[in-house]
Amino acid sequence: MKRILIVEDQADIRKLIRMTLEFEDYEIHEASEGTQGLHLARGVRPDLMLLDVMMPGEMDGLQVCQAIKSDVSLKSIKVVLLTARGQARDREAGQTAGADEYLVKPFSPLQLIDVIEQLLSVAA
Amino acid sequence: MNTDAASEMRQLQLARDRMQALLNGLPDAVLGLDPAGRVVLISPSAASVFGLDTSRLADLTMEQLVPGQGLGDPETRTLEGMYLRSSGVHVARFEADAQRVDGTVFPADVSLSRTEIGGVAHYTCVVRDITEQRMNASVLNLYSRALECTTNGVVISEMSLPGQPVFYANPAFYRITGYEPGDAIGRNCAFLQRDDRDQPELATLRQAVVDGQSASVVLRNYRKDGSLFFNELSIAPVPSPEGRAAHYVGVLNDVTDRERTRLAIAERSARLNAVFDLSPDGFVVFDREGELVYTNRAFIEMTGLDLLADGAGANLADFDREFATLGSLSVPCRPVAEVLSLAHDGAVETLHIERPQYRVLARAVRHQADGAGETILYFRDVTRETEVDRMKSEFLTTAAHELRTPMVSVFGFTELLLRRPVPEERRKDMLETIHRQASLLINMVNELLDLARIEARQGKDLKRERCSLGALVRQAAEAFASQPGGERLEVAMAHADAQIHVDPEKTHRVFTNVLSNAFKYSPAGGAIEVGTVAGRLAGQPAVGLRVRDHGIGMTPDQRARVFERFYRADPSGNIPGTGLGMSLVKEITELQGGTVQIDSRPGEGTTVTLWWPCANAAEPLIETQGK
Repeated sequence: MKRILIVEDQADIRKLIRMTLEFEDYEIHEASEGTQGLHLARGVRPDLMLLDVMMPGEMDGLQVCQAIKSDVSLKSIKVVLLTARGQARDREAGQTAGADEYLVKPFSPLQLIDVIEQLLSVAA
Repeated sequence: MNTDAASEMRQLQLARDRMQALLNGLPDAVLGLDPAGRVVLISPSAASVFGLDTSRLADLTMEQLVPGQGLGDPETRTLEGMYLRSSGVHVARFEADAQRVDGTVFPADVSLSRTEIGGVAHYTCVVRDITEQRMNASVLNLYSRALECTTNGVVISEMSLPGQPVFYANPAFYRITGYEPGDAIGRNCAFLQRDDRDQPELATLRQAVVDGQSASVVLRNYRKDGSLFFNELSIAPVPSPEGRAAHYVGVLNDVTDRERTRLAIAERSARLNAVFDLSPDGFVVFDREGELVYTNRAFIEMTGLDLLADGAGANLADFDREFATLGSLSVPCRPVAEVLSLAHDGAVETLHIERPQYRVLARAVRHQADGAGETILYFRDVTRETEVDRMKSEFLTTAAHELRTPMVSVFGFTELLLRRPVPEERRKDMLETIHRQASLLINMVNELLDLARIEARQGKDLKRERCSLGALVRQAAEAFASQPGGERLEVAMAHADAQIHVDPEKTHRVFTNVLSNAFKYSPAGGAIEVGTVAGRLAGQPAVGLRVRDHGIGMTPDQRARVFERFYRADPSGNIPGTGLGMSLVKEITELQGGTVQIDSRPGEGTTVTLWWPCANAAEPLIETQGK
């Protein structure tokens, strides 16, 4: 079973993603903050991470993404950025950070499932 | 012969020799004539004057030498002339054209005299060559004509007489000054200045005269009719044989038009300079050689650079160097020299300077390729606009983010409910979440619109009236009192009867928001105390409404940002809110003349005091026991 880590500070959105993924067959882990998310990633070694960009705290989503992708032991993890920022330069920032996918909020849960499946099938 | 006769002879001979010597010395031609006008005697000079050969005098007549003057009949001619009683001599004097032997003609002054000696008439003719005299007269005449015709006025003053009067003035002088000959002659030409004696050029003239030198000045002079004209006056001394200046010649030129133009230009320049100095934008001008010629007041204030202050001068390189010291090392300002060399002038660039303080400047460089070849720099302080733009941009980004976040739940859960088989218990949870988030979104949109509207209208929509503070507070508190947790409210207002001049509906909103926050940020419970306090606002009596909770409180950082749009102390959504509540509170309170005061300690709670000026400044605040 594939492991997915959700890093999102808004409780309702975490709930949405979790409930969405429960329709599929995934092992779900959650963190509500960037640093905590990174820490959990090292411990759990998920196959894919769903990262909110705008989070309070020391690290925002872009920084966590960069940290994951520049770490030899972690860079195989697929990263999907979720964000309310949809401008071209925000997408570019995501690309520069090394994200595999970029979804703009509000997103379709079904589309999210498709994206995850695609990324994980490639890995397999 | 006896000795008397011999000595008489000798004396005669002596007298004759003396006479001869006299004759020989004369430059004029002296000729002796017989009654028929034949030449019988000539002086040596006569030979040279007429080019005569003294050996060939035989048939020479006066008529040949001075024709057409009746010199063939000297008797008649002289008897027609003057009679000198003392000597008994008749003289005829006239000018005529004389003729040399070689045929050349010359002008001559002729004098024919008749002397009677022993009853016999002797005729003498003296001829003077006046060619040179005539020429001199002619030249003088030429000069005189020139003086009369020139358009420049000419005066000649007699320096040896007291007052140095004018003794000659040419027609142009009268034409220029409007005076008449009787007005000027005999007066010192200072009369042209009238009362306008305060001209520095007069001192220059006086000194020149003292030194016997020439001078050239421009004076204000006045015509006979009183009208002003500008006189470009040049004076020069004419020395006497002793060396002193016996006369002074003055040449006048009416340069009124030229002077008026010059003054008009100077006036316009002064006006332009005044305009530039008033301008809030900076202007800098370099001449065609790249020398700095002008910086206006605004530029000096903007940059602290006063490059022309010490009078040492500065050029473009100096300017670029000094200006570079104002910017940051990491983001240098493009030198003007570079802009010019790349011919990028005309375009507006944005520069950031950090000294004397942080400013954002819009700069335009313009080079006048033709004309004066000047380079002009224009600076505009756009710090505030840039800041405002930045804030607007940031606000939009934040607003977009905040509005989108609740939509994630609404859209996401709705899709799941539509497309997937959701179990019953989960269904309820999802629907509740949708409802909650939708409500939040509605609130957010409403508050955002309110805020925008209030800001745009700047309080014009406020319907202010005298309201009782106590009544308004009670109204707002009621809504909370009936909710769960309402028992935490403790309302004890000492100044419930205080009157404030406010819009009751909007102010109700303000009180509601503050009370709502008090509840929200003390989730662990605790009393929420509502009371009033008396104070002063801008020197006037004021009443403060105080709401105090014992909840989580705020750090100084959070406290500093509490009024920011969308700012929430806990943005995770655990404590619901739009983040706009306190912005609205501040906006509405301040538009009505009030102010918001916040005191807070993390972990201990927050006290919000809303200060309102008393509606009647004269009425003292009465303390009551009211609730």
